[in-house]
Amino acid sequence: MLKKLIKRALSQTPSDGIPGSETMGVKIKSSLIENEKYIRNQFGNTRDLVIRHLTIAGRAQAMLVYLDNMIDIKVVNEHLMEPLMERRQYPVDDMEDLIRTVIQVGQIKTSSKMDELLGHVLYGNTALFIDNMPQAVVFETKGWEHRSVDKPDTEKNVLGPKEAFTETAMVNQTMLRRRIRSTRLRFELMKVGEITQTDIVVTYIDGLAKPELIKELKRRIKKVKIDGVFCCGFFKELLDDNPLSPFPTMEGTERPDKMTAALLEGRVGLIIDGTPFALIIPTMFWDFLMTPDDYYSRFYSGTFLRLLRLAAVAITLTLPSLYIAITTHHQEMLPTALALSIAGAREGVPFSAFIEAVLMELAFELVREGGVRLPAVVGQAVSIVGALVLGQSGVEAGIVSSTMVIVVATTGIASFAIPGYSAANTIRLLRFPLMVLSGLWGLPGLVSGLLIIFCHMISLSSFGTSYLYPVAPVKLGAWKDVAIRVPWWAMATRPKIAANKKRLRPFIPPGKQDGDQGAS
Amino acid sequence: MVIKVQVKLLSVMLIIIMFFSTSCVTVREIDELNFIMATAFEYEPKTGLYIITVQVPKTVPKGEQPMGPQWMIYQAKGKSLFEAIRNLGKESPRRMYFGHCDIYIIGDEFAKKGIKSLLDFLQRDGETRVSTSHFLLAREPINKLLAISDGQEALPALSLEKLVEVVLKTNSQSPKVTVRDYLKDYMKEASYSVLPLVGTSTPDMEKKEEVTTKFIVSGSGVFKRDKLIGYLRPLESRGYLWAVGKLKAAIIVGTVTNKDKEVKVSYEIVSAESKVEPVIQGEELQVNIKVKATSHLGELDGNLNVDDPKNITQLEKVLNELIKKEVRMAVSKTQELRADVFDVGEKLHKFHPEVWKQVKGDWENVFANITFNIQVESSVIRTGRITELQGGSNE
Repeated sequence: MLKKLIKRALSQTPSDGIPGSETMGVKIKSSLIENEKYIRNQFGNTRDLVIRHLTIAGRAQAMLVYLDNMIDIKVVNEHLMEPLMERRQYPVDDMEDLIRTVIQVGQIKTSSKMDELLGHVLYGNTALFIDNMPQAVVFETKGWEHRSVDKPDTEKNVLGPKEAFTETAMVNQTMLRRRIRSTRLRFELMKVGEITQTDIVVTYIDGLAKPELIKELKRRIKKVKIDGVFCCGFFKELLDDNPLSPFPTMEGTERPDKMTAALLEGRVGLIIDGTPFALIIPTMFWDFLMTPDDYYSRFYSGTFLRLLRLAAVAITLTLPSLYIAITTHHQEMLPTALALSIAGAREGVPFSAFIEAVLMELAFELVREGGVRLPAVVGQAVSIVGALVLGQSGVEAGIVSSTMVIVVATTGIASFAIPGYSAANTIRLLRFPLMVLSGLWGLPGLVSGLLIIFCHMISLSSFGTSYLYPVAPVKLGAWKDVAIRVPWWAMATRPKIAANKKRLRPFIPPGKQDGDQGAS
Repeated sequence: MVIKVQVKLLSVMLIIIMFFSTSCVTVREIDELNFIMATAFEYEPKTGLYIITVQVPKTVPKGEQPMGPQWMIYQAKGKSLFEAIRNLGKESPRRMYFGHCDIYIIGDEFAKKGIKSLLDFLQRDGETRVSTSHFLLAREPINKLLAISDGQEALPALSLEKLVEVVLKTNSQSPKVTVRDYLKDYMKEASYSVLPLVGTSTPDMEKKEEVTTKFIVSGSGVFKRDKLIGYLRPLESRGYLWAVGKLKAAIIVGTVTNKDKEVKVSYEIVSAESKVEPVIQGEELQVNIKVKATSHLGELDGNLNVDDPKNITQLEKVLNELIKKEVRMAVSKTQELRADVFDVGEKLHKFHPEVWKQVKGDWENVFANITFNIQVESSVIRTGRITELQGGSNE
């Protein structure tokens, strides 16, 4: 059924009536009145369109076109209006000269295409039309209100940088540029969204990212036909190798330091205007289990945390199903004392272990979901109600067993320990089918369910790289940075996955550092 | 194309079937089971019926205080063991579950009749565990044995299970035999087994009501294949454990002389190993038992300078004799029972098959008359925190 859906989506031709398409190819007229008429016609009666008529040098009629509040009014007033309206003698029939001598704004573009000009106006720039001139100039006057750089909200860390991306692509771009002061850092602008015309910045380091990867990414972005994008989640689905998989194959991050590290590994970043989350491409499953803190703390603790998170994945995925399988099918696998205490705890519980587990896990998901949406002050109330009513009172009333509460709580906490939010959601979701399988067939059911999941994960890829790389296919050399993190000085090579042949990571064996310094 | 899809489907189906045909799938909630913790088997010669007695814990809902003992006894009879086990279900609304039964007690009459049916059941059934459950031989009637509440563990069966282990680790006067050990012995050419004896013990105190009856594991019973043929006393059992190298720890008391004074010594054996080896001396079959023991000096009742190597040598010599005496006791008792518990027959079968062919028809009589050469090599490696406890001049 889902495959049919994809087929249908693919077979659909882009609709003809794309709004704005009528501006395509329209040239600027030389008459100012006609241009104004055309623009007014295009924008309709929108209230934020400002068309300011002025007389340049006392003789030429001109008009400034901009959108209210999108521009920095100070720039327009002081550096555009003032010099233009000064009663000074200068030629007004030469646009080039005008720009060179009169206008005091940095970025300027001359164009005769109406759609290009309007595109700039829609992005907070100001266009200058002069009567009897078939060209117009756009001045960089962007200056709208935006959120300032803040601490990361979803990817908290202890050590390391504390600033996060914001909703403005340019600010995000700057944050990366400030970290990578190299001429080889490239930002390539693309536009997605038939209506929204959202800026997408393809970010990579030339010579580190594979050219094929960049080419393929651009090809896919160009193919995207959608009314609008305003979150990286759109691209996670639109650019995916495996549109039907529950697993995310791209990671959104709001940490510039994480993005920088990814770029240095030869990955490609995708900055999307309007969202503080930038996409890292490609992303393996293991990347969801890594945090910048692993690299900022010493490698022993980094490795320990990695292993801990692997355990967290295993617990989140299998603990409730293991509990169901063992208590309803394989009681002989429990130590005697534990079997007796579980039996005692389940005494008088009206539901079977399976129903009990499903109910409690659902209740937990409800508490979690309720807590996510609520303001922080009310969120506390949710956790109190969740913990007390569902946990304690449930056990006291004999509706759930205390062991079940422990299982659910452990599973919940383990799922919070997975750093990649989208991957954690997937794993949390997958535990329900596993619970059904183990409720029906015990451990054989659980194992076959896990097998299906693993087979599926192995078949996945992220922009051509295997999803479970380097574990499957096995590349032992790359295991230095998966479950264990070797010290920085031992990471002699770049990850093979996305990097070019050049390996630029400095390899300084410990102990030789002094000698090197002496030589230089 | 069609064939490809069919092959794919077939392999997927095969994989799925493979998983679900590995074990029987039965859903049973953990709280709908009666966990059998100990089972006792007895036989009634008069009626020819088997009696089975099981101990199961009472599960009480959380927060409620259990009334009285936390366990229940179920008893049922049947024409065969399995029928008796099923008859337990007449009284129990919960399914009797053998998966956690670690104690199998064999009643006296049943042991004499032969326990082959039990061995068969324990292996045939899917729930029973042969490698972790213990065999015990009842020294007293089952009804008395399983009725006591020793108050140490929540369930008497649990304390029995621990007791078997602890007895071996403290004094080794009784072996520890799992069902699998017994089955291994059972399949040998000359099959003899030694099972621990369990009884009850009540301290002799003034106020009878404050006294708790407890289990005691001490001594052992000798089985010829599946039948009980005799008993070994505690020290004889230890002699047997010395010889077969299963001894874990022991306290042995002897005397040495120091300046014409007798000094009582307690040795604490910490490790022991042994080798039983049948040898052909000319025409005669002999068995060499070599025992190596390591001990600590546990207690001295008298004065002895343990810094003096001569005294240590004397201590070791005395210990050699003491161990030899215990092994000798076991040997003569088992020769009397004509029970080859030392696996001599099995070793002959393996290393001297031609000799075994000659003797196996009349093995019991041959065994009873074999000469045993017992060599003991012991060492006292630690003498404790003090060298000699010395009093003042008025000692």
